[in-house]
Amino acid sequence: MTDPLIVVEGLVKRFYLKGQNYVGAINGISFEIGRGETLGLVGESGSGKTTVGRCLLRLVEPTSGRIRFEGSDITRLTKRELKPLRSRLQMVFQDPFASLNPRRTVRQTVEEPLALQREAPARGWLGMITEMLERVGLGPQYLDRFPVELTASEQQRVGIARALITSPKLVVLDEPTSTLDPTVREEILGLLRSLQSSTSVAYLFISHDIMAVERLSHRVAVMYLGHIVEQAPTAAIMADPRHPYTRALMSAVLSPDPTRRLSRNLVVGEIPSAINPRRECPFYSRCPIRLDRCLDDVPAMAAVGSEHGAACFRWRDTSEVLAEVASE
Amino acid sequence: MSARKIDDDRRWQHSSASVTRHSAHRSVTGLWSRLSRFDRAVLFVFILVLVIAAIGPFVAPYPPTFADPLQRLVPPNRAHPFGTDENGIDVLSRLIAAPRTDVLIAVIATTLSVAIGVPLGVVAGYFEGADRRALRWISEGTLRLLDVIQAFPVFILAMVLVAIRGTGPVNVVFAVAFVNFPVFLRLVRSEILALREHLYAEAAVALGNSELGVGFKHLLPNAWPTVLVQVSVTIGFAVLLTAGLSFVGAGVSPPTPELGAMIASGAKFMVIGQWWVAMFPGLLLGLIVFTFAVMGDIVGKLMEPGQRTIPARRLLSKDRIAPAAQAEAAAPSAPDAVLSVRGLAIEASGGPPILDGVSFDLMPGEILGVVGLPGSGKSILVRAIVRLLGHDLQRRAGHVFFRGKDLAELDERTLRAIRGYEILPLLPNAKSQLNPLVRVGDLMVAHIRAHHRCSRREAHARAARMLGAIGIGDAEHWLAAYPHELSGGMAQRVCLAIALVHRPPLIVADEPTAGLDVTVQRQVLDLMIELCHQSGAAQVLATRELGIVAHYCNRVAVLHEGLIVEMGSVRDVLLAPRHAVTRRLIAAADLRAVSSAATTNTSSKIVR
Ligand SMILES: Nc1ncnc2c1ncn2[C@@H]1O[C@H](COP(=O)(O)OP(=O)(O)OP(=O)(O)O)[C@@H](O)[C@H]1O
Ligand code: SF4
Ligand SMILES: [Mg+2]
Repeated sequence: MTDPLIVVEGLVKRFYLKGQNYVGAINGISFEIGRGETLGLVGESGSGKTTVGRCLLRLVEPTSGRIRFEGSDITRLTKRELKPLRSRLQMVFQDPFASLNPRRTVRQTVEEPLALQREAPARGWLGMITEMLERVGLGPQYLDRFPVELTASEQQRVGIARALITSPKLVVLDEPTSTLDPTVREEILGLLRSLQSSTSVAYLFISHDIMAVERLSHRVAVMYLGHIVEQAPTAAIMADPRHPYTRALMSAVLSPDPTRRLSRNLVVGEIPSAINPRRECPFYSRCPIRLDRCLDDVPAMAAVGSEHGAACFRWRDTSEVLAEVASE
Repeated sequence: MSARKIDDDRRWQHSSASVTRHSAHRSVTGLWSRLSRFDRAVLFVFILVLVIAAIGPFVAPYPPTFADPLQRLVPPNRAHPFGTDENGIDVLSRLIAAPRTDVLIAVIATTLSVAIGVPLGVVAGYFEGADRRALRWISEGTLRLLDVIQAFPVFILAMVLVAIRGTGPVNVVFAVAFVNFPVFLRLVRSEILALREHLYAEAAVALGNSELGVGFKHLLPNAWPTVLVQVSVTIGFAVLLTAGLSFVGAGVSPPTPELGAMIASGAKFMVIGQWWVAMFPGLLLGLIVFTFAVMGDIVGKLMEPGQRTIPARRLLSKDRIAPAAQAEAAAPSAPDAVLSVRGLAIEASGGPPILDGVSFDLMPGEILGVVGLPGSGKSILVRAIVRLLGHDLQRRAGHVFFRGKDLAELDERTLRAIRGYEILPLLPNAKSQLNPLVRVGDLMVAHIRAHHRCSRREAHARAARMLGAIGIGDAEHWLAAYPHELSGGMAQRVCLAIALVHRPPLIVADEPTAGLDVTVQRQVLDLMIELCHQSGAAQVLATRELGIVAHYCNRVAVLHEGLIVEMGSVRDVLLAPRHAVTRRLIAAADLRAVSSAATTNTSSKIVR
């Protein structure tokens, strides 16, 4: 990729507990996002994907690793140096209602980033706010409403307006649609996409819903237990997933077409605890095709294609082996 | 999605939204209607007290410091309705003039405590959550110091303060403010600590606010209601404290009219039968303190954030409903149906209907999916069947026949015996429904033994086997665990397993897999269906996800504006939808349809 917008290298985040114990939330991940591009980050709860987003905005302090955004290393900046950066790096949160201050009107909420940055003169703010609201599909009659007076979809539109009003270069979307009804989900995804094409903002789209990720992302990274286990352009990963976990995520999706038969669910159990992770394949405990040697080390990212990597020792023939197991 | 499409969607969403939607909770009539008659009476007295405090000295019938030596200790009569005191001053006039002193001192002192306590509380709340250890220590130390201050009996402390600084109103203000500011500091600190967990606090940091800025700009406004409640209570208490200090001679001294001093000087005449001098000020003091205390509650009620007003519903004309659904509503319930809902109508107290005549039959072993737009009444329907509705929702009409009994008419005790045993309600967030104090194993054993005669040991062994069957390894560990140790998916599976011990003929489920991870959702659904097949249980399954309906249900009912607008076999409805809402739901789900890699042709556990 030529001149990526943000480069994350070897990011690690540990939350220390009592004694020597720690939660390995992120265990050394690397990725890049280009200008105007969307990287989808998929994984289940506990995989560490929200923590990645929070590290990018320094809402939590990364333990180690580097995050280069437009030339400066975010992890090294002081809080003061960080502040001007905020207008170029924004976030949209999972629960639209909870992320809005209940005692602030739509106008006050969307105005806040402008007031904090003081880049534009104050008399222009109202015009900017009205225009931004219009772009997210809300008319001026919404200016003085409070969050309780909005539907979930309207609340999330306000959240998006707040994030985009300072024309950021990158917006972290943390499960922006997961608490929404499917009908509303579509609306919001469509809105995000049209905003991207008109402003060429880049997104880090965090979600547990691989279908939503497919709809919005140019590239996809799959996270499991603090590791990126597979990463590729969207079309490549959807057509030819190489990591058994990626396959599991895909086959867990229920098509609304009743004539389609469900594939057998091969992955049982739940994501294990992230406390004091061992040096082994993170997916070992649930992997239907695991081997003894998967316990030896964390598998490195193997190059499946030029831009497609999978961190599995058996990446060469995952689908054949899985089919064998399934037919047993 | 094009802008037009969004517009269309928006219109859709609001087609049923009402005119009343805008900010009813901010209007005065809205606020007034929240108060009970008692509250309104207190509010009236409160205003009266404030008015008297403001203009008392000017409206008193006699000058409140005018002593008439010839009229000393006159009992209540026409000229002096409350009598006169030992100096010959009219007691009523002094009573009207006195609250000004007490209330003024109390208000100023409380304002001072708020002005000191609240900002310190914000800072303490911020320090306490801070990364830097030194700040946490400062905060910790301050709190310990406050403990010490507060450990003294307040009255003694105030007396000591006045003794050090000398008597007089200004010193009383300082003393009362000093003993009260820790109350506000603590209150605000704990509010801030709680509020900073909210997502909007994190959002504010992400926007570039400093932590302290978030505390003052975002969290404090949300803490104000609690603070104001406390302000009112504290003013009442401060009035009492002021009067108390004056009573012991440490506060305001005569001749300034003041309740405590009046009581003090009147007290010595009490024993010789001249009761009026002390009694009336005493009663008034009690009334003032009481009024301020109750005002605290009232303020709390008025500051509650408004509820969203419920959208008014248009009634659907019958011809907009698919014929099959209509026919089923009209027909008498099928003889062999497990569940037969007839014309069920639910409304919010005084509000619009939420369900408006829902009818359907459920055959043994059948799984009926209930879908609809958000707010269409899916959850209400599921809860209405087992009568698990909140108190603000009532049944207006209709019946729910289950094995010959009308659940809608049963008394609560009989119903409770059925619920959980013959009908299993499965609601989202199973964890919150398990008793947090009972170990998983004990709970399972109790249920097993309620149903099968067996020893504890046998029941325990059986429980362990059950956990294995629902995919939870290391059974002994989990049997000894408490519900909070389970993950959401495990809790939902445990609920299922427990319930199915009783082999209920009917399960009613509302989004049973909401919030679960996709790979876990499949496991729970597979298990649910498998167990249904084993025991022949029928099921009503409300869900937002059409994918669940497509693969786990036999029939589907589409709810819209409180009515079933389309019902039929899953294939018929999903492949050839007739109603606009159904098409809209399918469109939303279809866009997310699966690419070919996800569905292979391996055999499925699901039987249809
Ligand atoms: N306690 C209540 N008092 C008044 N109205 C209520 C109450 N509870 C729910 N409602 C209203 O009843 C309607 C149906 O709510 P319900 O929760 O059943 O919808 P749903 O179909 O389950 O929606 P979702 O897809 O969001 O889960 C909504 O308009 C809701 O606002
Ligand atoms: S490395 Fe081994 S355990 Fe890990 S995913 Fe691949 S096959 Fe499974
Ligand atoms: Mg619901």
